[in-house]
Amino acid sequence: MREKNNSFKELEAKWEAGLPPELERRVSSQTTNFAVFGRVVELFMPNALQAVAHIIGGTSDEGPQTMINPGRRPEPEQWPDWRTAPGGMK
Amino acid sequence: MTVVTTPLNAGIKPSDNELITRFLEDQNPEHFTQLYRRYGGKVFAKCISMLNDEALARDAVQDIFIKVFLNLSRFNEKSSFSTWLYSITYNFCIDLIRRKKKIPVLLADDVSRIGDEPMPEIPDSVLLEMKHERLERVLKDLPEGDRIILLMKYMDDMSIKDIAEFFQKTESAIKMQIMRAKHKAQAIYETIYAHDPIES
Repeated sequence: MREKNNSFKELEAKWEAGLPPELERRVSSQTTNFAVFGRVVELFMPNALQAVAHIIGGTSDEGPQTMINPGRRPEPEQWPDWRTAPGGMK
Repeated sequence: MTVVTTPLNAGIKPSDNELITRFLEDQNPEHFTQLYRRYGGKVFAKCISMLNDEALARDAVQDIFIKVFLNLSRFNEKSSFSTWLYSITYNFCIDLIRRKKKIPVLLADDVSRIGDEPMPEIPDSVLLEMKHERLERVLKDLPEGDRIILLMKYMDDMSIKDIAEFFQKTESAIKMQIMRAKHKAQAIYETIYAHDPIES
């Protein structure tokens, strides 16, 4: 059976063949940049926002937990056995 | 760097939806590049046909794929990926034409202005069997709205129902628009190739 002619499809094939190869590199490098940027945002953004909220005086239960009792030393009874207490006392 | 294993490397061709799922899981751009390799040419062909300008089409392809990349998580599998991608392509190009030429509406007004005058039916074969070089020339001279609707119908094999949904028009309005576009295409053909109407 003779296949139906479709000059639209022939034209499409001709245009498709003209796709410049460097376009793949352009698209690929841009998508890679977006992916990397997305990962950076995902990793650091939540903590950065919490830190900013903390600095400007907000509170958050889920904020960075590194500033609890800043500068406070543990009580002597909390020191591990292997550690020498200040002044050489055991 | 993560090495992608499984079917991609094993020579088994994953489906579009599989590639999308993998991309959404691990954000590895290699999966997206696979999609680009599959559809880049088709999207480029559509952009050239609608925009009539190769440089513009190149930029459009890049912008369309970036748009798709950023919105991939919104793709719901109600339609196929290709249908979704092509509708983004059509919308993108139509917006570009509107912005460039400051045309307020591409199709809607044309359709509503069509009168009730009877038009003789032109068989599809008139366009489908035209030499593609001549068809390209004819399409170039057609107004954007007519060109796009003919491309949807004959290049993408979209149903009248799908075209109507895309333009939010009734099916009969779309049928009328296609008929009108065919008449215009024939008139352009006869004007350009009056000296050599039979293709040799």
